[in-house]
Amino acid sequence: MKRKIIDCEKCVGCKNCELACMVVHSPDENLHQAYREGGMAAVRARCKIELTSGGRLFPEHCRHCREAQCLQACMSGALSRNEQDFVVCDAETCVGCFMCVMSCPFGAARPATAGDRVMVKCDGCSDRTFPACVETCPTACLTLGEEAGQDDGVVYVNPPQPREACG
Amino acid sequence: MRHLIIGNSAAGTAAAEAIRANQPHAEITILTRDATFYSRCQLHLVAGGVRPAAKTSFVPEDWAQRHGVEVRLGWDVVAIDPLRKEVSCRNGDSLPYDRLLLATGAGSLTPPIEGVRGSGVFGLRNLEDAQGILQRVGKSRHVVIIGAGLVGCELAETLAAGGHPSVSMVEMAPHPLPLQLEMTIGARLRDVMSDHGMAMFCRDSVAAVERDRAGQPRAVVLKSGRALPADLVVCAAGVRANTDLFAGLGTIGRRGIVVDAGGRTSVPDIFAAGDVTESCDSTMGRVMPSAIWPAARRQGRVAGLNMSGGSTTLEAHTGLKTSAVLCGTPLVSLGPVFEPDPAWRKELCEHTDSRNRLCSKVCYTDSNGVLKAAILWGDISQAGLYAAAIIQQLPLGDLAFGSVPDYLLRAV
Repeated sequence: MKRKIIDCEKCVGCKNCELACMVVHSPDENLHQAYREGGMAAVRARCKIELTSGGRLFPEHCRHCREAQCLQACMSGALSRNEQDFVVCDAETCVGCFMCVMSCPFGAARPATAGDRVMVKCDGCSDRTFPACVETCPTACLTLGEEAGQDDGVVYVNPPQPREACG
Repeated sequence: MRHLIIGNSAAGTAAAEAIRANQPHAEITILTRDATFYSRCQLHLVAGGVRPAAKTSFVPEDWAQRHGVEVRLGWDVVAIDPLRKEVSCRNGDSLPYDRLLLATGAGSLTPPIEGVRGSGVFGLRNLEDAQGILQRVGKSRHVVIIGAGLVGCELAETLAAGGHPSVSMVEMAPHPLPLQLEMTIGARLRDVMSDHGMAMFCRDSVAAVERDRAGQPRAVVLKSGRALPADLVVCAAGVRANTDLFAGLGTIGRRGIVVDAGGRTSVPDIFAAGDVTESCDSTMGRVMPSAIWPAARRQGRVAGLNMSGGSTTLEAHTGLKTSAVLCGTPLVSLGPVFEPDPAWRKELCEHTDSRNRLCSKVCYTDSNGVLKAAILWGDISQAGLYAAAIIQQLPLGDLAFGSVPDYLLRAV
């Protein structure tokens, strides 16, 4: 199966991935309309570019972990793994207990900031042929490919090195 | 191999799934007293009439079929014979097992209060409790909830939000959620709940439930002498592990069945997982029950894997993790907030977000800067990172500023 490959060296922080994610997850894929009606809170991207303590850029994407903590924490049955192997949330079933939010060690499960009290997370663009973030990335930081070795649904290449000393 | 699982909630179902993943052909049977699959975390929604009981199932309809599990609903196990390796049920049948899992959960604790037993007083632990409350709450004029823990608070909030005119809470501690919050945030929650129409009686407890001539509750008398009118009383003052089946068989600790990190009890081939057990909490280093859904799922999974030939241990296990949304405010509590080490440094940061909501963070760090406990109020979107930092004993570091913390990169 093709997986999202994230080459951190190639990220320039343009945030096109975030924007594309907001667009495809807006009602009718109309970002302007969603923003006009609900402001910033209504348009939430599922991915995020973070700045590391070493000053490097880090695209933070849901890993669709093999042992997904969000999935284990879900008490409503809203989170499940679909046929494409993505961990997805059924907003109709979600009751917004946010135990997934406190259980995801990467911060990839988050509360929706507008509308119903539900969680939002990356759905791998299951209903599209190509994830919007990958489609729009201008630097080939995000690509799709077959990479051996890692079990999760997302593979990181050249991740920033952790700082040696802590505290 | 024949696997028998007693209980069909978080731990029981997680174990069944794990066993099936390991052993495609093993026989898996779930015996449960319950009549359906339902999520205990949603009982307050059922009691408040917000969500029908039928919609609280946490597994898909074809779950049993998909995982090849035989589910016997309404089967009440009354005894275990570990020598003959079989269990006997109330209906007279007995079933043999090769591996047995006790996932019997916990039940409401009824506090020793005069008049507390009888009609009109409910716990909130089973679907029957929730449906009993739902039946009466429409006609009731005054609801009193004993105990402002998570169950009590969520129920109170649901009833008040649903328009019930009189919801009162009685709590011994100075503020609601005493195990999850410290003074500052606790006092704020108390005020917010009062603002939302709940009458909060903190630093007080219930001395007696008074009943009228028909035997129905009439008032709740507090230790302070005050009497609150009440025709519906809910006891949400803690739980007791359902260890009765295991009594006399093996080691039961102070608050649950003793298990090792692999979910094994002291009796060969008998495992236990979920609220019926007590286990070492990684954030506190102390043996205690872990009464949260995610912990029960993880325990069930580990037990299931070990029952089916695996050798897995439960790591980074904690029950000291709570998330709730009360009066519109999401909050998350992590770690031993109720009993912080006096040497820990406590910091409170507050800001107002783009939607003008007050967001607070309380962080406890030790002398090395390692995050030990935290409370998030308002903005919980980074709660998972804080939880990971606490369980992995990592410094708070950059989390305070919102950028990606070092430990996160290590996990890549």
